[in-house]
This record gives sequence, C-alpha cells and structure tokens, in this order.
Amino acid sequence: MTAPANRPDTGKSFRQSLRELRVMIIVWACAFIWVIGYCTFNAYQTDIHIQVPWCAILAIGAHAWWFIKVYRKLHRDLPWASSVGLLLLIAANGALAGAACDQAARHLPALTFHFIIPANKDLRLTLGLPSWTVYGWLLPLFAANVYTLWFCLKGMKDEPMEAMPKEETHA
Amino acid sequence: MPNPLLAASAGNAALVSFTIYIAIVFVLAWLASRKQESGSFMNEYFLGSRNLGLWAFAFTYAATSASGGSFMGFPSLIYTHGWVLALWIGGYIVVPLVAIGLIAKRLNQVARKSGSITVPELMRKRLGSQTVGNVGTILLVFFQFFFLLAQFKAGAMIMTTLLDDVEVFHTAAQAMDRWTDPIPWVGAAEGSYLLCLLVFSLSVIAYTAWGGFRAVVWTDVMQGVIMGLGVMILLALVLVQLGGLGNATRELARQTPPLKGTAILSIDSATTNPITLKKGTWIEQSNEHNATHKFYLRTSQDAQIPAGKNTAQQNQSENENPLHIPVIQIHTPLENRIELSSIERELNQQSTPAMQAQPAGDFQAYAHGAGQSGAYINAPGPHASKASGFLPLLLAVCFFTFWPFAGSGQPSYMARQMAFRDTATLRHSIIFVMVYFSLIYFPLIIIFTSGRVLLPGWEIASDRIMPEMAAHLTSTAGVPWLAGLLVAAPFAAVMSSVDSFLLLVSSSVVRDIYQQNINPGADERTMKKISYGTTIVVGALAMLAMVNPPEFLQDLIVFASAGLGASFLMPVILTLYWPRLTARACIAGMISGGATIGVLYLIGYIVNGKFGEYLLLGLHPFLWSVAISTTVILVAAKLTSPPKPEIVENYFGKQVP
Repeated sequence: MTAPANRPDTGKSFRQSLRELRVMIIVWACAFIWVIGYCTFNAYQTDIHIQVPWCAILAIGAHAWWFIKVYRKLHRDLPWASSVGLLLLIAANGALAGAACDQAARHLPALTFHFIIPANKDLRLTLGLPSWTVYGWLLPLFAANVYTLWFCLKGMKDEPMEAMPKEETHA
Repeated sequence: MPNPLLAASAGNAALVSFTIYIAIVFVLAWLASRKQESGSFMNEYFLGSRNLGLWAFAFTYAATSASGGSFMGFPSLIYTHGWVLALWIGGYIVVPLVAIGLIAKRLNQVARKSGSITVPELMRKRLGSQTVGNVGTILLVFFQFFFLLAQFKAGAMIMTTLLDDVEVFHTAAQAMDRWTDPIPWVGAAEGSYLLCLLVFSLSVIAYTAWGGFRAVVWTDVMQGVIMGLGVMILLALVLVQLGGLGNATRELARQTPPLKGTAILSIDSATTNPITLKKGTWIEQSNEHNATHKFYLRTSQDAQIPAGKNTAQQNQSENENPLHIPVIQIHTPLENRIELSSIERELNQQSTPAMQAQPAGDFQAYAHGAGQSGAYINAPGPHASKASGFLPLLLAVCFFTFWPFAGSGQPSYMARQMAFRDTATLRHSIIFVMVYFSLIYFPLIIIFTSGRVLLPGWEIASDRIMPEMAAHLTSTAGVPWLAGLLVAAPFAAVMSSVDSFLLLVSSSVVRDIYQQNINPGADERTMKKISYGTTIVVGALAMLAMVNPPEFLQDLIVFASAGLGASFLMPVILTLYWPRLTARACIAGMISGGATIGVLYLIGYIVNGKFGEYLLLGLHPFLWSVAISTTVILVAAKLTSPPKPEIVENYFGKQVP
C-alpha cells in the first residue's frame, strides 16, 4: 500500500503541471522572438515584402463578428448540435470569403498594405558558418538548452504517480 | 556519374547491414514477446506496462519523431536549398522542452488515473462520453492511416535506392517482375519496388505484431543509437575531408543554382558498339567568354549512343525529340577549388569518351536565386519554381510554431508520454532528447550543405544524397565497410516510425472500437488474438494500398500530420487542463480542427489545381485549424451544461471550483 506522504494529490499535481505548461509557453515565445526577430533583419538576402491583404482580414473579421452575434442568440433558441453546426458553417464561410479576398488582393495591389524590410547585403561568416546561423540559431539553441537543463533538474517537480484502477491491472 | 566500385561496395555493405539489422530486430521482438507473458496483456502489448525507464522513453520518443524524412527528405531539402533549412527547423531548439514537457506529465497522470491505453480512450473516460472516444478514434485512424501509408512507401523507396547497386537484388527484382506482370494492378508496379515493399512490410508487421509496444520501444533504442552514430561519423568524415568548415561555407557562398534544359550530346565519330550514358554523366562545356567560371552539364536521365551513330538518344523518350537529353548546367567559379576537384574527379572516373554538348533551346533558371551568389547560405533560399524562395518570412513563422506544437498534438507521441515510469524519467528524458536533437539536426545541415561542395550536381536526384554521401565519404577515407552502418540510419528511422504508427492504429481499433463497441466482455485470450490479428491486417492493408502509390504522397504526409495536430492538440490540452471542458465542446473542437484542414486543402486544390495546402494570408492551415478549433471549443463549452462535479473532482482535485 502507498505511504500517505507518497499518495498523489490530484489537485496539487494538476496545478503544478499547469504552472509548468505556462513556463514552457513563455520559453517558446522567448525563443520565437529571438530567432524570428534576429533572422528577419539578418538572414534574408533579399528585401522582405510583407503584404497584408486588408480586404481578407476585413472579411474574416466580419465573419468573426457575425459568429459572436449568432452565438449569443443561438443557445437560447436552437438545440446544441444545430447551434454548433450553424457556427461551423459561418466559420467555413469565413474561410472561403477570406481565401477569395486573399486571391483578389494578389491581383489588385490597392487591396493590400505593403511593408518592406530591407535585406542584409553583408554576408559574413562566424566560426566557419553563416553569421546569422550562429547568432540566430546556435546561440538561442545554447540558451534554450541551458534553460532546459536547469528547468528539468531544478524547476520541474517530481510527483507521485497516480495509481491505476483495478480493472486495468487485471485486464 | 557515381563510381561503380564505390557504388558496389556501398551496395553490398547496405545488403549486409540490412540483413544483420533485421536479424537483431527479430531477436528483440522475440525477447519482448517473452516479457509479455508476465504482465497484463493489453497494458503490456500497447503500453509496455507503463514502465519505460530513461533510455527506453527518451530513445523511443527521439526515434519515432525522426522518421524517414529526417534522413532522406531533410538531407535532400538541405542539399537543394542550403543553410535556410536551419531557420526552417528553428522551432526544434525548444521541441524537447515544449513538445514533450507541455502535456507529458499531466497526460501520464490522467491516463493512469483513468486506466487508459489510447488517446481517444483517455478523452472518453475523462469527459465521460462514449461519443468523444468514437469521434477521436475515427479521426485518429483516418489521419494516422495516411501517415502509415506514406511511411510504407518511404521504407520501400529507401530500400530500392540503397540496394540499387546490388546484383542479387536486381536478379530478384527481375524475377518479381516476371511473376507479377500478369496480375492486374500489381503488375503495373516495378519489380524492384514491389520486392522492397514486400520485404520491408513483412519485417515490420511481423516484429510489431509479435513483440508489441515493448518490441517497438527496444528496436527504437537500437535505431536511435544507429541514427546518432551515423550522423556523428558522417560529420567527422566531412570536416576532415573539407579541411575545415569555413572552406565549404566560402565555396557554398559563391555557388549559384543550376540551370535546367536539354542538350544534344555527341562524340567525334560514329561508335561501333553502343555507349551507355547513365543518368549523372558529366560533360565539360567550352566556355571561352567567361574567364571566372567553368561550365559543366550533367545528364538527368539515362541515354545511349547507338552503334553506328555519334549522337546520344534518350532511353525512354517522353518529349518530342529523343536527341534532346535533359541536363542541368552548373557554373562553377574558378575559386571553388574543392568543388572543381570533385567534378574533375568524377569526370576522370567516367568510362565514356569525350563528348561535345550543344544546347537544345534556352536553359531555364531558378525562379528565386538564379545567378545570385550567397543564395545557398542565406534566407529565403533558392527555389526552382517559387519566386518568393524556399522560406519566405511568414512561412518561417509558421514552421517555428508548427514543429513544437504539432509535435505535441501527434497521438503517436502521446502514446509514448502515457508510458513512462515516473516524473524523474520524464525530466531526464527531456534532457537526453535535447542533447540528441542538438547532435542530430545541426550536424545534418553542416553535412549536407557541405555535400554541395563535395558532391556537386546531385540536383538531378537529391533524395539519393544521403547514401551517395555515405558511400563517397567512407570510400575516400578508406573505410567502405562503414557505409553499411551509415546507410542503415534511414532504414532505422523509417522502421521506428512505421512500427509506432502501426501499433497506434491497431490499439485504437482493438481498444476503442472492438472492446468498447463490439465485445466489451472479451477475455484476455480473445483480446490477444484480436490484437495480433488487427496489427497484421492493418499492416497488410497499408502494404496493399502502397503497391501503386500515388505521386503526391509527400503532400499526404503533411496533410495527415497537420490533420492529427489540428484534431487533437487543443482538444487534448483542454481535456487535461480545463475543468470546464464538456464532451460536446471537445467533439466540436476535434471535428472543426480536422474540417478546417480539409477545407483549406480543398481550397488549395481548387486554386492550384493539385493536392496541396492553401496558405490563407500566407499562414499554414495548421495555425488556422488550431485557432478555429480553440474558438469552437470555448464557444461550445459555454453553450453546453458544465460537466459533472464528481468527474471534475476526480481529475482536478477538490480545490478547483
């Protein structure tokens, strides 16, 4: 029989897992900002053209607004399955309308906001590698590995494992 | 053209290593099946009694995630597009922590508490709804089966490539051709492919069915060791032969993408005997007007100069003029000494007489990166048909999100996360996988970007670059027998993925369909028979479906992967972490995630005229599907009654309201 101190506390274990999940998402976000941020300005040899088809965003936004309006009314009037079905229909329609506007914007420049991030023309090597891979990939990899090591050794908590139900052990 | 001696030695090494490898796999399956007798069958067969220690859990996770793509498709992409692949897999720097850590501990706890063996079963028990389990099973089996199909084809293709230079293999393939020719449908496939598909499928089905999860895990450990060793040896050989990485990178920076076109190839006088020009034959082109570069052509199809003629003809002509031989044209700067000496070495090893080449029409340049030095060491990377290059910024953003989170959403990884012994094992496994991935993926980029300098011109068949590099590096270093170990790595990678997917599909069919819906009172003996039978039947179906594989299989892999991630990522995360989640909201989330992928692929098909994704606002369908699945779950949960308090308390404790 499991000693009382080693018995799993489901609530405590859940909250600890949730805390660790938040940490991992923050780590991913930091890595994202470092790698994508650095590489945007240093890895690209040609100008980066960021095109935002505002008409497609408008179409998707309008559907989102429609979705919320319909959702607020539906749960009073329709059964659950019909409500969800109708909302799915609006979402699918939003995807189609967004795609159609996205296609139209490719042919009509006026339907698109256009930003340019200038290219990095200075091609340098560091340690025999392209410099952007050292500062935009290897260094963040090293940092992520050091943090992972610390987190796995000190940050993550060990917890007693849940016992399996009886039917499982005899199945 | 590959050196025939090198090719033969590498081919035989591949055959020997493959035979030894299969023998060891079967020994492991036998040992695993003996272990089964001591435990509960279902728990043991599908989850190894939830007793995986550090090495087993870490290696099985790493080996399953490194599929055939990591050792065949990924090297091919690196060779074709250059250093930008480092940004493409940028998300891997946090994959060990995020993809394993995000849900593993909680998933394992909930699976133990509910006594679940499969992911749909876990959702069914946690949410108290049979329908959740059924919808999950249908989606899992549907998307995972595509994945399985793709891996069967990849396995057969890798074997065909690696045994291409083995004489016994060709004899057996011809015999297979003769036997299968009269059989409708089957006869349409090539004998070599059929033979490899048969051997590969029978081996993997047999050891998976025989040994179950434990055999899969043990073979994964062996496969993981082979992959790691293979990469480390390749890296050492590359660095030694280049005399330092800087030399290769500087030469790579001066390289420009090749041009594609056709040429008329001829010799001075008519030949008395036919001359075979194998795919990959080099021809030096005269280039009087350019003092800085040398021009070379390389054939990308087999051709022949018939007796009595002096002009080459295509063996199998699909275009109008058989004299127009498809070639690529490479412009090599005179400063690129390693690259030039590699081409000269291959030219000298050819047995064909000196040839003249006359371009037949204009050569076609790459849509992005043509004539641009530095294209191979910077983003977005050259691309033959896309003007925006291989990896535009928005796509880089998508992949940085895709790798860690789509990885978390794959049920094959979740099955492993349900099987580790304790949380200490999990913590140490994350560290191990972190070191393993760091030692695998970055070196692979170094190896195959260097491959552009050591073995130029492989754009003609870039998916062969892994075995070609192995054969070249080991032969040049005087250790040709080592090629066997190196070429076993792709076998290992594909097999370790196939066995996991096979077991995942069969466990869903047995546990979630048969035991839940057809025969809930089945005794252990019946379950044993059904489990073995299902694994064999699922494997056999996948093999039969791949006898004549569709061409767009690579797209199907991405489709299946995105579909699984879209259907399971948010529903499983919220099942584990959100007490307010209801069964109906979970069902709506799974269906909407999967359906979004379906709709965006359908739009892609309508817009592009071929199977492929539609990048709405430049974003991958996976991101859209996760966003929509999350929204639908949140909305549907609010529309439905809260779950029963006793279920919430059972899984979240009393403190949670």
